[in-house]
Amino acid sequence: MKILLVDDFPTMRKILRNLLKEAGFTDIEEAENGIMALEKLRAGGFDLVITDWNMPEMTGLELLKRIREDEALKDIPVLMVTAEATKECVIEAVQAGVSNYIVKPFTAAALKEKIDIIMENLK
Amino acid sequence: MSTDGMEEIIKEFIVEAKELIDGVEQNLITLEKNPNDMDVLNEIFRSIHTIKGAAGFLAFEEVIEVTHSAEDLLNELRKGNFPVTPDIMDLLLEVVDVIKELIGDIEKGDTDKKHNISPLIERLKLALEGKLEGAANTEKKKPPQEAQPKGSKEKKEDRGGRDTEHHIRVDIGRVDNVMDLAGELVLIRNRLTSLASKLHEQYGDIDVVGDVDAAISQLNVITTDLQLAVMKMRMQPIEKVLSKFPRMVRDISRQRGKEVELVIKGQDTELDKTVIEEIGDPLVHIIRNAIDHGIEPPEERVKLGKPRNGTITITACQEGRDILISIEDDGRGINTAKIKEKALKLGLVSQKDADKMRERDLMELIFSPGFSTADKTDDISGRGVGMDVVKTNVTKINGSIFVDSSQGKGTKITIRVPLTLAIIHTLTVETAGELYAIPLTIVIENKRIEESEIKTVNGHEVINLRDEIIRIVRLDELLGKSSDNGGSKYIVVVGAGEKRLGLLVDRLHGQEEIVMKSMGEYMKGIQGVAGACITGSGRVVLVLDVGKLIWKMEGIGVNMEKLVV
Repeated sequence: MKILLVDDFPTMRKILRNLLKEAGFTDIEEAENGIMALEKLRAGGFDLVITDWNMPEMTGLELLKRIREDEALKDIPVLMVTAEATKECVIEAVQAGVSNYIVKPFTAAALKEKIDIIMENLK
Repeated sequence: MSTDGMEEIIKEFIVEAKELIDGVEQNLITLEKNPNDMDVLNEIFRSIHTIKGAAGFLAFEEVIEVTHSAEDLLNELRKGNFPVTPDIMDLLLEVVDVIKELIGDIEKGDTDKKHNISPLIERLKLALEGKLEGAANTEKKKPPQEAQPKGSKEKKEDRGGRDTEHHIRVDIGRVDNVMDLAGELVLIRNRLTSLASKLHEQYGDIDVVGDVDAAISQLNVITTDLQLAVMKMRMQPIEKVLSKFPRMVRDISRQRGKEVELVIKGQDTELDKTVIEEIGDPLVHIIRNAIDHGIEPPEERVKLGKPRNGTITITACQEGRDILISIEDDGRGINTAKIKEKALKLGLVSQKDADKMRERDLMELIFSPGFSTADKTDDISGRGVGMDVVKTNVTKINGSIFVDSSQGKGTKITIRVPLTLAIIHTLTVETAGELYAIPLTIVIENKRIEESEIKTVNGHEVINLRDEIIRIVRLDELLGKSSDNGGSKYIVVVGAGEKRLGLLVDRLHGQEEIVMKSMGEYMKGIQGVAGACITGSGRVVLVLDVGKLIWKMEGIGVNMEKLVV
């Protein structure tokens, strides 16, 4: 399974990559902002996008909307990483078509669980 | 999380969190000036938020707690529920300081160290309830931080457009190693060039000699390019140091009840990493002095018909192979009468000498050891470290410092430092049959003179150079040697700090670009010798530390002030 990791903060990308590795996922690519993420996604081959919510220029939510609007990308599941799961935020993300969300900080096991749920729902 | 790669992640967190927090600090200063700038406020919030997020995974509880509380307050500011007041700014800047301290201790490996963060958290909560009023001032504030030029902050780029794939972080030791090797290559090249010209003289008519010449001239070009390229790798924008100053100026002027605007020009000017590291402290001191002694209190300024706000302008620019950094204020200027009085009291000059001194010379006295016009010492300036330390630090990196002041109008201090310390331009001189190199940065001029031109005044040898009397020091005597050939000699006029001095030598050998090598452990600490180098002709030449030499001379009973005749 090929995963695209989107976060503007390099340390966070490294942390997430480490957690994913621990959860058994090794095919990972990174993007540091929404624009680069869309570019990589259009090149194809990704099974899942894990994106941070709070990013400059293009927020995770905007990226999610752009993915859903794009005919070629709209079916790629998106897992949103957030710091706070306030009700309004969750509703907004769900309406925009988020596959699932996870609140920072989390363990590798919790991350794996979320990914498994997403993949289960796809079937 | 697994411990796999944990250490590396923490290392990365430290570096990046530091960058973020430096950014927050700068943005807070910007925000204070433009309280309605939402973009800046959002960026501050996002940076704190990012630090919190990563700290969460790494279980740095205290960092999480501080960032979390700060985030709450910032959120209220974002919503416009509170105005950005100086007290709130103080509090947020304190947050920055505390986070820096926490990260600093994580960096030192002190992850278990407990910090007393609860008073800060408490005040952040009070602020959130709108009850901060004056609370920040009841606590004795610690003195503002020194500028810390260390750390690995790269030139700040547009975060959105930054392409990490085109940047790598390299250990400075590796770059230094390449620099050293390039330096060695220069020596070999110089040697080859000089051998080739001999070869050319003797066997100029043989074809292969011409080919060797061509190859060497190519080697010449490539070596120069290589050296420049490595030098560029070590270059950093001076912004790295200057970016710390807005915060410092804000804190000090607030503490002293002054209103000061800081203008920074030329922050993109690049110079060598080592120079950057060494220039921070002197600049901090000069700026402190400018605020403390230079800029008048606002009411006084208004009375004098000056703008209420004092202005300090820091300008950096490149001039040839040097960087000029000037710090200019529009304050009260240097009171030369007061300096004279003080110098007399301290016994730095005799009444007779003092009366003869020009304004410029009197001003230069501020660089004398132990000199400080502040009547009492405090935590800002006049802490016993005076301008003499500033001068020493600047001289250490082959730089020079000048002061210019106009009473009532302001003071301008200019520092001249070389772009890089790796390659030194020197003047090679000969005395008593030995060659010595003198850094060109301190050489003012050379002149051929006859022994008969040297006069004795007050028991000192001097010459008259365009109506300026210059004290002569015989280099051979200074080095404990003697050259007996009379007749014509040369003087090298050097400016070691505030003094002009003529070094008498037998011969001049011309300028050379050298790579200075340290003397090694067992010959370390020889006074007056900065290092050694190998010249193009293959000779080992000592590089003189003229400042130290003169100091040494002073140590054997020559009064420095007597140098000004």
